Amino acid sequence: MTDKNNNSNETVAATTIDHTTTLLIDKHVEYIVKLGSKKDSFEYWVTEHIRMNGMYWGLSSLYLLKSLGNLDKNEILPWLLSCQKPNGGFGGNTSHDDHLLSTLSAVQILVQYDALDKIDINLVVNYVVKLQKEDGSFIGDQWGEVDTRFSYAAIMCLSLLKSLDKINTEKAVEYILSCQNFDGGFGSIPGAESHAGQIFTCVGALSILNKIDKIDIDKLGWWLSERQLPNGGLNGRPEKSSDVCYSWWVLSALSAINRLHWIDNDKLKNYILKCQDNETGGIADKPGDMPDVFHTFFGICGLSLMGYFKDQIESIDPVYALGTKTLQKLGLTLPWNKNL
Amino acid sequence: MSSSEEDNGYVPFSKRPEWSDVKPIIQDDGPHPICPILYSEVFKDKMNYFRAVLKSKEKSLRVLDLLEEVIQENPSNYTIWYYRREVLKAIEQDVGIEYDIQQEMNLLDDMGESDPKNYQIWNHRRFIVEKYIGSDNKEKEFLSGVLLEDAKNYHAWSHRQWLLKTYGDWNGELALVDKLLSLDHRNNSVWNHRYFVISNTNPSPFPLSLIERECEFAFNHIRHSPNNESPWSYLKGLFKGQQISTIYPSLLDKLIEMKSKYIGCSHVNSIILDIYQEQNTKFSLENSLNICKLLSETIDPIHKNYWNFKYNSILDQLKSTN
Repeated sequence: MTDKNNNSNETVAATTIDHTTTLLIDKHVEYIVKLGSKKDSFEYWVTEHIRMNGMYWGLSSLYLLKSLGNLDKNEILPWLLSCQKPNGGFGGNTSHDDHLLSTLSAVQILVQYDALDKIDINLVVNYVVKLQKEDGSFIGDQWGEVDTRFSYAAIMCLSLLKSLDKINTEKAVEYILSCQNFDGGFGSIPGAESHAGQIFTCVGALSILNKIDKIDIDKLGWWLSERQLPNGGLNGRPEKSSDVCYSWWVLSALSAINRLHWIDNDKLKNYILKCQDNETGGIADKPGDMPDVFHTFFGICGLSLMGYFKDQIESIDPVYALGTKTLQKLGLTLPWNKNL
Repeated sequence: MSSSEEDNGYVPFSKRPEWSDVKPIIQDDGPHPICPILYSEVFKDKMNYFRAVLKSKEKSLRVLDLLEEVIQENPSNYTIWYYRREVLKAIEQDVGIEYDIQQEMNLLDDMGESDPKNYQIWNHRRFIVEKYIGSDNKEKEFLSGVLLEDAKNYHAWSHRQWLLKTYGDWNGELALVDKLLSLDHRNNSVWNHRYFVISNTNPSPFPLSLIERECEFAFNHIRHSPNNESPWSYLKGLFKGQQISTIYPSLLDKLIEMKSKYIGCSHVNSIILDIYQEQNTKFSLENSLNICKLLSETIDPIHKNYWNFKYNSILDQLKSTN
């Protein structure tokens, strides 16, 4: 090849990376790593109370892209530990009050880094256990907001800490089942509209407790597969528009109940790829929108679950939303996981 | 940024005489902050005084004012909402302090209007209604306002459902459903709400008279757009705990008529399949197999794996009836 050809080939390559057929791995890694340094952005300080969640999404994305080493564990862990309150729970950031959701993200990050030994596990367990109500439901913090998301967070957290025996699992299951609706889906509280995000949490919790057989799996599978729109993307409830994050909520639930093939995988893959930003990296909710770490994580998760780009991305477990290999190391059984 | 905010009339707390006794606490992120934030000077000032009252555990009316200022800056900060509830509880018990709880509702109404999807605002609202208001008073009116702006707001609907379960005033709910469906009959949240209202005000399983009425209701909307998923799910849901072929056998004829009218509609075919499977005769099951093929190959190929699964289950069912 001549110099002239080389130059023109490189120029052509740089401007015509087809993000609709390729996963822009390096760009996404770059995007995530840069997020931590954009400290003067409005978005940065408005989301500071959910930094723990953001950290989990970012780190997990890097793990999936085989690039966990690109962020410094020795900077992150002390910050994470500084978010723990005396009662054992974790806040969303330093000086923020404890909440079950940030506690879960903190534990997930510690599992990711194989650093559970850095915390007093019993203290965290006791914090979570106290959040169960008499009817089996869970509240998110001392103020009593009940939501099936919290059932999932509590059950998953305790499962990772090998302490499920400390809660009333029977009542927990009973409450979750009371949230199943006439259309086969689940809502946030009994009677609330079926929503893919809530379904993911209910299916996840029931799977961990080995009680998934208590629901009408085919009916739910059908409701979930109906989320696919002609553009290949998935929505979260009937007649709403598609959003990349549903590639996780819907897909993981379908995967956990062994019905992943009930949606058109190729069409969804193409939709996710179209949502990539080929200038900054990262994945957006819809093609052409601004990316964020939340949608970046869930887009990559969707591709991983469907088994695309197998050599380049790690396998994610649909129930725990952590790497399959990571969970195996922890000694957890994952009967729904096809990648064992 | 800070000079323009001063121009906007913001008075730093240090210059407010009523706060002269309080020493602000500056945020300490440690020597090597991993996630240092670049706040505005105004925000920093408010947070410095918030930290001070948090530490001194002061619970007074001036703290309520301070908290209101801070929460406007960042409505999702649940620590601030938590402390506000602590302050309200303390004020309630202090006979020397008077605070009209309606002011709290006014704050929630305003903030809820600007930020209708904020979890913390809805959670605080639920707390105040349950603990201090004790009825659904003006709540339903407020909620109807939110829903007219965004009829799919999940928080508003679940708050309404919580309200109905707690205070039991079911009047006007079906009228609201009718109104919202007339504006958008594809709104799944409204269909869900109708089901919620019907199932909480009638015995279960539903009596035939109710089923007939609700089927007709669903069909009215289906006639406008046969491919609208929600009324079909609603229709199927009416028969929960019963068999369509037992309780309402003439429905099948109606559906077969619709099937020939709405040729590309997967939903009508799907419910016919359900009925045929219930009937469990050679005739009905063989018809089902043809419908599955039609769905898989022509009407709904994006779901061909599902329809093939249905085909195989029905085939198994057919084999065991012979």
